[in-house]
Amino acid sequence: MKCDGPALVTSHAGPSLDVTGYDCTTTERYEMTETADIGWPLARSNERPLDPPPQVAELRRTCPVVRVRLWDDSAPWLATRYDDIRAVLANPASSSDTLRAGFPHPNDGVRAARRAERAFIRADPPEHDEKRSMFRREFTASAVEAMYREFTENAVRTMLDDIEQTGPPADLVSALANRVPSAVLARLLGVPIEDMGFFTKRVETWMNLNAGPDVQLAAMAEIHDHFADVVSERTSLPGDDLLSRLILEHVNTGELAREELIHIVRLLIVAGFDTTANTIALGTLAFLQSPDQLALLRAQPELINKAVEEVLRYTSVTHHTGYRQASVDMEVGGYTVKASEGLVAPLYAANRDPERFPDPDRFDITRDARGHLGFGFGIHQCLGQHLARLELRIVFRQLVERFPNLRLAVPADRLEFTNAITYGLRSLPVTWDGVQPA
Amino acid sequence: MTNEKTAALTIEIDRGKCIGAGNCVDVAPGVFAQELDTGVVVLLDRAVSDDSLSTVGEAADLCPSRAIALVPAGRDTAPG
Repeated sequence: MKCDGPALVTSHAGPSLDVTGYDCTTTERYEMTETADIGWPLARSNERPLDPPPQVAELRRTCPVVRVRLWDDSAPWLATRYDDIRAVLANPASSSDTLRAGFPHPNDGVRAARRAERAFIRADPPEHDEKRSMFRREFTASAVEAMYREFTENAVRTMLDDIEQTGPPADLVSALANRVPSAVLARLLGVPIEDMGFFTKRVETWMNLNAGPDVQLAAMAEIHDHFADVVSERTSLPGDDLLSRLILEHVNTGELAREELIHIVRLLIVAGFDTTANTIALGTLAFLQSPDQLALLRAQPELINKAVEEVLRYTSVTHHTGYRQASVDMEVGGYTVKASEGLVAPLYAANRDPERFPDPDRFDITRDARGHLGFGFGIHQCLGQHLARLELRIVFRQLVERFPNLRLAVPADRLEFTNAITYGLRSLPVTWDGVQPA
Repeated sequence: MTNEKTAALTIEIDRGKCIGAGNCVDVAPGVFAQELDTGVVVLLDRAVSDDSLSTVGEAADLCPSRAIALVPAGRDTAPG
């Protein structure tokens, strides 16, 4: 498409952004976009809060690779097409080292948190590969199946029993979405379930972009201190849990520093809790807003695997990820990105690209959503993805089976979404009737 | 006419690149496995058949670390 109008100046939250006249195809493009003023991240619309900001589709059509302006006035390259986003995330030249000068961040809260996270998710090869390899076998599909399926099925059944007995109505965020990954993580780390409240409360603060960087960092530090104690205990008295195995096999052998293990375990808490909890909440909302899809899954439970991939594609809860920095000159969608320039490759933009997923804003559990980037792409693709899939399959299958008439207990426009590093809901009030016998 | 496309391909894995995401095992369990101790990919069957082309192709496509490639088979094994 040939654009012929002047570049439009836009604001960060500008819902009226019109990029149709934005000149992004001429040879002067590079210079023009250097001074462009498309603020990023853009705000979502109130009408369709599960969709990416509406301007993303327009950018994908007109300026699929474009420089945007961040909160700190830096101007990284934004990609909005599936192929380009995937290519950025898979490119060895895309650095994830958040300590590099000029590394792009969506806001100061994310910047503070990601600079304080000293784990392999923020490292490049070879350090990344060396550390991640220590965790791989704990999270293979067969390992998580053997270690967590039965436990999770029983845990979810008990939670749904509780919901059934105390409702209707119920808040599915506190009664289900937060409880499932909490229970699984307690099991994984070998900590008492009673301790999980300590962690989840602090994870919430760590993720809360309204809290401010200092408060977020303080919450992270409290989790760190707590784990320092747990690691000391396990060092002297190992149990049958992931933490003990890592201490025995990698810390005691000198391959992994004790301090680094604490950082990694702290990251497992946030990666294992926050993402799954919010995907359960937003996925449930997606079903409630498409009752035909809920009925379909109930009638055809064999669709569960497809349904979960669709939930992952459609919700894309990690909406502030995909930030990278070019370590050397590289090419993105036909344009040269110079070494040290920032890259933004948003997962939700890839997952709503109509070229890859026809009618992308439709929640359709019969579509083939495999290949979605809900778990990211490249060497940092989610370590716990098979565990997340296991939890989500169990939750949604049991939920639609047990509560066929599940529906929102408040008007949809009264739901409150979070301003957080991971996207989610403050609460999800639901009601039901005619509950089937268990 | 013989199916030149599949007859001419074999699977190559790069264990050094593998991050153990396990997507290949998910879509093509008879072709790929993960080492129990390390989670690194193991190739069970190099050959690409007409039947396996779509799943093997998908495994290569889904691999986040680009550790799976479908490459032309050696000349000696290619159809005449």
